[in-house]
Amino acid sequence: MNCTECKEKLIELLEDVLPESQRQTVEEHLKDCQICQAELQKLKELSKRLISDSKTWQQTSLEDAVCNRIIREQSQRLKQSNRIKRQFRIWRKIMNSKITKFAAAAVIIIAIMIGINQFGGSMDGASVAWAEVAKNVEQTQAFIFRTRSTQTRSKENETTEMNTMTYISPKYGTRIDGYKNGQIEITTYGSLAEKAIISLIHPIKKYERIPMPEEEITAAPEGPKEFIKRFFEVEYKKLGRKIIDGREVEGIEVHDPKLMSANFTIESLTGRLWVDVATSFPVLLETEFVGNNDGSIHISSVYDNFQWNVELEASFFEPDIPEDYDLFKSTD
Amino acid sequence: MADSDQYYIKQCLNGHPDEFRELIRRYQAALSAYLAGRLANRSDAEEAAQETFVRAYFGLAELKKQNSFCSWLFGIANRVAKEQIRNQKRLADVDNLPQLRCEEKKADVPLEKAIAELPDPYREIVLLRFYASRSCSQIAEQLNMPVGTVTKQLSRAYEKLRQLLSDEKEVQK
Repeated sequence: MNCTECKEKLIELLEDVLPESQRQTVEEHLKDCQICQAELQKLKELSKRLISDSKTWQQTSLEDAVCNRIIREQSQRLKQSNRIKRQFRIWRKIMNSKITKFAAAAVIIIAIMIGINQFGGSMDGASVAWAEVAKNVEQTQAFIFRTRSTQTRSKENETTEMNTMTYISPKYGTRIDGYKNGQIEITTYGSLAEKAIISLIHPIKKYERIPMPEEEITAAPEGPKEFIKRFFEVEYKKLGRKIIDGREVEGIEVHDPKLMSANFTIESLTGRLWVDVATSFPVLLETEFVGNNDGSIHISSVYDNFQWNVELEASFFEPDIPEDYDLFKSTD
Repeated sequence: MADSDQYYIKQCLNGHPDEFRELIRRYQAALSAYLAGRLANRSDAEEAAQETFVRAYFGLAELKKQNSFCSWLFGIANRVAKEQIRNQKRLADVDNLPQLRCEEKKADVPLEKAIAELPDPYREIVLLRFYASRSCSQIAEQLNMPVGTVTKQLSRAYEKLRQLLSDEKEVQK
């Protein structure tokens, strides 16, 4: 046995996995070779050093700390999951309502915003600035935004455009004003005071009232906040910076269809979120997706004019039903 | 097999979350040592190891190759470490250690840093062998490779470690 052959076997000797016959050959070589002896000694020293360092870590127990964190996290996820289930119930009721068929585009878009994936992936890739955005959105109280959407249903050869203004207050509820061709078409209140979802369809002067437990209405205003937060929990790519309305913004783009769920299958999705570099608040959100398993639904939406943490009066959320509006009946 | 990672993962997924404790016990030292090498701070490493285990627990259902739990766990740890480094803007620099680290007389910082710099397959074997106290045969079984391959990889890992440690000494001179 020469030195090269011996050195190749030293780890096996050290690890005690060398077959007996080879062991004897290696040991015989070692007796007469100081170079290989020195090599073995170096390996033993390193092995000793590794064992000694590993002992410093084996004294630490992470078991209880990890298990406690898992229990806490599980309870938070359960609460969030229940809240999302409640949100789904509300919007399902609205969508199944006959009156809202008149303004289907607005309703579908809202449902998509609310029906987000329960748990995102890891926060991998989140930088300090983006973590700040997520925190700002999370801590926001009342806020306002504008939505402009175009929905195309190729099977029906139908294109609908709808603009909405959405007002959200954790204290009073939600109000959505939907416009078509510059005219107000629908107003929907999620009123905490009245414990109901009230929708007014202006062109036909009808209204509808769906009673709703308070806790379910309280759950609803979280919608767009939750949606924006999900951006940081799926894989995203950075879009760099640009100027919008004189403000420097930085953007990210996502393509994970799990980001949203709707009452149809989402096949492909592009979402872009632009955030004010100075304030770390979102200023523009753009979504575009194709769905229904055959690409027959195409919806593109732009959410902008965000006003975060605004003062909103209680009266603004009180359903204002004009006297000449009639209750919508199933026969209408 | 009751002793395999796969067995404990299945138990967790079948509604016995307490079985996750065994996986924590098995890999906590390996994971913490690796993270200490990346983060250069023992308390950060412990915090990151906790975070890694929590993420792993909630991601178990998504783990496709259950027999690759260990590699998967280190993949998560790597992402957690990157996030911590990015968030704290603190690079793993032995020359620039915080006060806390200086008091950790027992920990072999240069060694941990060298382990963190090893190529993935070598590092996994070193961590399993010394920090998870597994024999070469157990590692071979776990990683589904012949014992000879394990010892060869271990031999190369030793060589690389010695090189990294001697480079470290050179820098210190």
